[in-house]
Amino acid sequence: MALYNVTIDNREYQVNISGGQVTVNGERVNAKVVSLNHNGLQLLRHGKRVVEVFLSIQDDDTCQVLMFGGRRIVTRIRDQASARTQTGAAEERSSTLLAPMHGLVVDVPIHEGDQVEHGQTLVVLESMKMQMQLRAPRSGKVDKVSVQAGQEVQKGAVLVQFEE
Amino acid sequence: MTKMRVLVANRGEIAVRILRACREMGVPSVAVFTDVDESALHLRYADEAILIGEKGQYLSIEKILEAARLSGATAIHPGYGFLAENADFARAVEEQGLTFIGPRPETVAMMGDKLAARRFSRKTGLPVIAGTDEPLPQQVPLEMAKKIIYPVLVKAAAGGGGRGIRLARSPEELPGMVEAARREAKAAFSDDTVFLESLVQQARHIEVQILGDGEGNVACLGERECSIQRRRQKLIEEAPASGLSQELRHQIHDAALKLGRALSFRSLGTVEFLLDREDHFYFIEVNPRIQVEHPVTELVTGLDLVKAQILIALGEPMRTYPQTILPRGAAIEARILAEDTQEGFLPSTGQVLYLKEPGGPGIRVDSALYQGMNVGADYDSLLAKVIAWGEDRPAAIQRLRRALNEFQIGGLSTDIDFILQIIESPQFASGDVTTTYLETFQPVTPTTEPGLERDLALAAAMFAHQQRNPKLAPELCQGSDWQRMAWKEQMTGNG
Repeated sequence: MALYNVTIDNREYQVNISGGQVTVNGERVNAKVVSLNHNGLQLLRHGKRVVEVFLSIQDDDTCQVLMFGGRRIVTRIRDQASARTQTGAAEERSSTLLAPMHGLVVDVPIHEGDQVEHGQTLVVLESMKMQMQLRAPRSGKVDKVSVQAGQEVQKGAVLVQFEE
Repeated sequence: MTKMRVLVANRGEIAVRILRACREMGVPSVAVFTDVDESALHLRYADEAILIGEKGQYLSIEKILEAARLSGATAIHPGYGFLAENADFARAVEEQGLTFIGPRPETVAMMGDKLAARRFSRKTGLPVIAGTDEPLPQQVPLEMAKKIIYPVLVKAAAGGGGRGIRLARSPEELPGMVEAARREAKAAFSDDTVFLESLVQQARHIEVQILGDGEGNVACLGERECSIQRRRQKLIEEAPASGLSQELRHQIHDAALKLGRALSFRSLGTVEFLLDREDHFYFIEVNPRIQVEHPVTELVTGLDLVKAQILIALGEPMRTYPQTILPRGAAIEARILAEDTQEGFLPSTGQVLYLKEPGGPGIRVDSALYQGMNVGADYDSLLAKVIAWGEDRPAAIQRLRRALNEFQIGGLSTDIDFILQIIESPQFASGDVTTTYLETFQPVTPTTEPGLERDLALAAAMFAHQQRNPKLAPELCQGSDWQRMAWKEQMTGNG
């Protein structure tokens, strides 16, 4: 048996998968999903309608994007195991600066040990010709700078850590 | 036809576009690519493809010329971006005895210097926006500072593509904005010269397509409107511009023709204007190259602008175009960008896991996408363009909406849903939008009917379950049709 909390916008759906039985918010559902390819293309039969959806697990492993009719719905999926890692990640975030996108580090105008102010530029990141100034989420002392100019970073990479 | 072999010094959708024209004309073609682009789509549209090195090498004059020598190319088409507006490149190409498919190097040089372009246009009699005709000194002299009317634009003299531009709303903001514009200009164009230009409030962006043979014959191929912009990047473009009186349209066309003739313009170019509320229009700049939005002009004129460029480069006499080009119907283009509109428009990278491009009546797709493609952070975020034609503007918008609904790109975020929201807004439908429309635009997130949303939640959970527990249902990941049928049965709530 597996229990998933799926959030679309602010609405939550509790999906219970148990053997061949599936319920949403405790009710059995008259819907059918047909897998068209292994990448995540599926047909969802909803009543008399057939809706094309595309599902993919994102880098953070909690977020799925469903596409249908050109629209995109972001769902956040949590089971009990991932709920725990999420809390951990949130705690970590307050003391670290993460890369919000995949890109190239253009400039790191700070050094380890620097006292920085909230809003001060810590890292300049470039992606697809767009430069982005990543600013300090809070004031504090820089404990560790994990990147240098010229380095390529993936989305979610730790760039700068603060002292607790 | 004279023997010509065209090297396309570009990548992405525009390289595919140019290579297609070469194929249609029976002109042999050469593509160039960098090591990160070794599986890019444009290579597969060329007769030959040459590796020019690391990711930055589309900007290397030396590497491009070397590729031309290696392949025996006789002409180079620069596309847009990269070296397209680099006068040194145009000059180097011609010095090698090759044909530059574009304006003469001196035209590229003058139009690349926005200050020189302003002076030339004023001299030619075009209305030019008030501003400084000389570079702004490092320190703004007090005398000048007093005369500035705010808000004012700080613009890079070497600018282009909307980069190196800042808006200062007050004297206090000016030094910071000058600094920011200089920094961006230095990084983008290796030249931090900036100047000041008055802000035209509530302006529409109107541009005129011109084509010349370099011997004094210049034709006007009509105008486009590109008022829908985000961070000074065009997002939606159309032809013709809606709601212009015939008289105003003629005046704008005539101004563009006047400039084109004064330059004895060669090849394809665009003269850009801002149009204010009182129907005054002002020259902004000339883009001496093919533009991203050229297909809307092609759809309403029936012309092939890339072929026209190649024919002129071949020295063919320019065909005669009517004095007043009459657009047939209306066309509208949407730029499909790899960016996450729900997360502050951040660039979005990743693999294209699934792709379905739109089609059907009146739809053209210029794209460099393919399933399995990796979209990296090295080049700009334009993935594809969807262009719709209709007998009038509402019909074109209807078709674009239908096509965007069909367009499915799985695996990375795009701006498709955002564009849909713009074109569905009543103000856009009315045609009454200015270049600042998107600054205050509030997207209305479409709602999903509750029953369908619940089923989507179900599908998402089932998929996550399948991904996380491949062992529980191995038949879901690999297997024959009947095994997938079994999966289908399992997915049935109360079959």
